[in-house]
Amino acid sequence: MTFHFCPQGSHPFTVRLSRASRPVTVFHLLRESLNRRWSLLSEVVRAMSVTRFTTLSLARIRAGTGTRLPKSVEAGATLSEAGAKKQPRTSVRARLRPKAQLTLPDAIRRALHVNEGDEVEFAVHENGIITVRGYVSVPSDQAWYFAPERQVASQQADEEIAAGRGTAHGSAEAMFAYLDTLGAADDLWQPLRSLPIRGL
Amino acid sequence: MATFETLPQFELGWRDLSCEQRATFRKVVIEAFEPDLTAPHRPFRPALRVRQISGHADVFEMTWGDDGRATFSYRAEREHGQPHVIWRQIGTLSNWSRKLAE
Repeated sequence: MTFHFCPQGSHPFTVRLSRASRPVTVFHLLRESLNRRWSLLSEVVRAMSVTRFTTLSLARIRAGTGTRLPKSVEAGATLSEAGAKKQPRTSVRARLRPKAQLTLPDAIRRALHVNEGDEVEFAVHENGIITVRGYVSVPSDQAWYFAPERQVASQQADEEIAAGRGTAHGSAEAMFAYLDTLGAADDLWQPLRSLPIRGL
Repeated sequence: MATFETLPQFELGWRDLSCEQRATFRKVVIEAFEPDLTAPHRPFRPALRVRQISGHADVFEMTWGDDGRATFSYRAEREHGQPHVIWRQIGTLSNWSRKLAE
């Protein structure tokens, strides 16, 4: 079951609840996650996959976190009811070729955010639903960029570019003159100007 | 001369840097990054470690210190024949790790 949350003051995110998650655990973890935003989200998702879930009143989540929830949820539905009504956003078919080879339809490839060299994981669940999850291969020295907090920052950067919120500068010197006005005085810049930088 | 743009996200990271880190970034950009950026075919020197971020065609990273990282994107030229760079994020690996642990 997958649910989309739109926390106030934060980015929307998706949480997948397993049938095995306990309502109290989910409630507390979600509340803690939303209050502390992204840093604990991965722990929340991980925790939900190993605990029990029956039925959870989303009104309780809303009351506890101030979270904006989907309309079906706001009406007082439970997680299980809301999940059951959800229709797939994208549905495409592909034909198997000899030796069970399959070309991933482009819409699905984009939804999974995978490219050549990445991996997909197929999982068959007890309720008969088969899920596909994309795994992007990330060089270990770029792992920092894929940490949840950096991903949020990157997403915000994309939105800022799209909204034209950047400040333009005609040169590097002009840019640093502007940046100097933002924070503490850059007292060390002048003494460091003459020092060599290792490797350059 | 290359033109630049700074996003609020980048400026947020800039405020978190120490004076020494800001000075280092400035020195690296002015003395190494910009000259390489404006040279034909952008032959970034290996020490800058300019690379495309895996899976993100328009996001690049550069190294400006031992654990200093910044990301940027290219956008349409503002001045004819001159690259336009948008700085997206800046920080240090140790700072980011510490914040994540808090």
